[in-house]
Amino acid sequence: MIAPENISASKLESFSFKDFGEVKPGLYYQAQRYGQRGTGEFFSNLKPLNSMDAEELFNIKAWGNNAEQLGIFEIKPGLQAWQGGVKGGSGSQLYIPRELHSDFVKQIDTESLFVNELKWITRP
Amino acid sequence: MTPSEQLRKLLSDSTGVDTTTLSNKEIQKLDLSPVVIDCIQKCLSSDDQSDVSTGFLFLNALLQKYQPNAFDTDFYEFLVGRLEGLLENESKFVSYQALELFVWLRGNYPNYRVVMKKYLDSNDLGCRRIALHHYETYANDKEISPLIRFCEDDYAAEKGMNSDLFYELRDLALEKISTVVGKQFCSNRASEPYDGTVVSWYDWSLFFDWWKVEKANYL
Repeated sequence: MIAPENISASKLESFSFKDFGEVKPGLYYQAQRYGQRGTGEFFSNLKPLNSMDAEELFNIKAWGNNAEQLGIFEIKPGLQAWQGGVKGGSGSQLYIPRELHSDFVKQIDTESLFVNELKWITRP
Repeated sequence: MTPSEQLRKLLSDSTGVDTTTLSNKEIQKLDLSPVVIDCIQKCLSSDDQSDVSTGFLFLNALLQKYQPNAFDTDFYEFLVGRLEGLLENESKFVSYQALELFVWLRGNYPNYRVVMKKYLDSNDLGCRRIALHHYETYANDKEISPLIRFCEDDYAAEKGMNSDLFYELRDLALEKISTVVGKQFCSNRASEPYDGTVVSWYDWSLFFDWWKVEKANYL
């Protein structure tokens, strides 16, 4: 009943554990494909260092895609959502259905995960 | 103190839970009592969206913990009367929460089918999604024509962060048609490039071939 049932089973499968509740407002991140225009529905409060880190946190390779850019978003107060662990990954995530993005999700910036990766690899 | 703050204080005082951001599991530590039910009712009566959202969150969590009859008849009479007014709330989130409860309490609404069919045809993704999920609760026997428009629904959903995409409502509608008809139409998937990845969906051609022949036997 209410929002919790209104998520398809295939989306729930991407959680290793989950609970429905209020979302702490603030900055959230989304690993994306290079040049991706649309905003996905899964977000995390963990900021990956680079594309490899993003893949480990969010198990992106399971989908056959690469994490090449990082979307940075502000989540506004008042949202309730499914939150929990990423199945097959070491990170956490929350699911925000597309229809709630206009009220609660504001894109702040996009960064390249490749650039961060190179900086990290060459760090003395 | 607002109704939402009262409810959070009740939880905090009785369980010690930090009520800054609450989850179902934390709320379910609270014992249901007339005071709690009264606070939930005050939240849902409020004109403030934050109060209403908090009321729905507590109600949902406690309904999962307790049997529905743990809430008294007076509360349900209030809820049935209140929900219709919240369906068109200016906060989409509140209206979706109200719609899910409207479905659950559908036996109390003579106009239930009319309202749900309106939402099934809505351009609002959230309303359309909820109405489609609960299609069986208001469809007539052998009624599938309201689902056919979903063959072109373009909501591309993810299965996980940065996953390939699928037309979720297009797939769900064909699954529901298969159930109503008792014939499996969801056997082949089609796909096309989409925003740097691939979007897939069940191919509806098997259904349309069948529909040409059987249309007269269904609504």
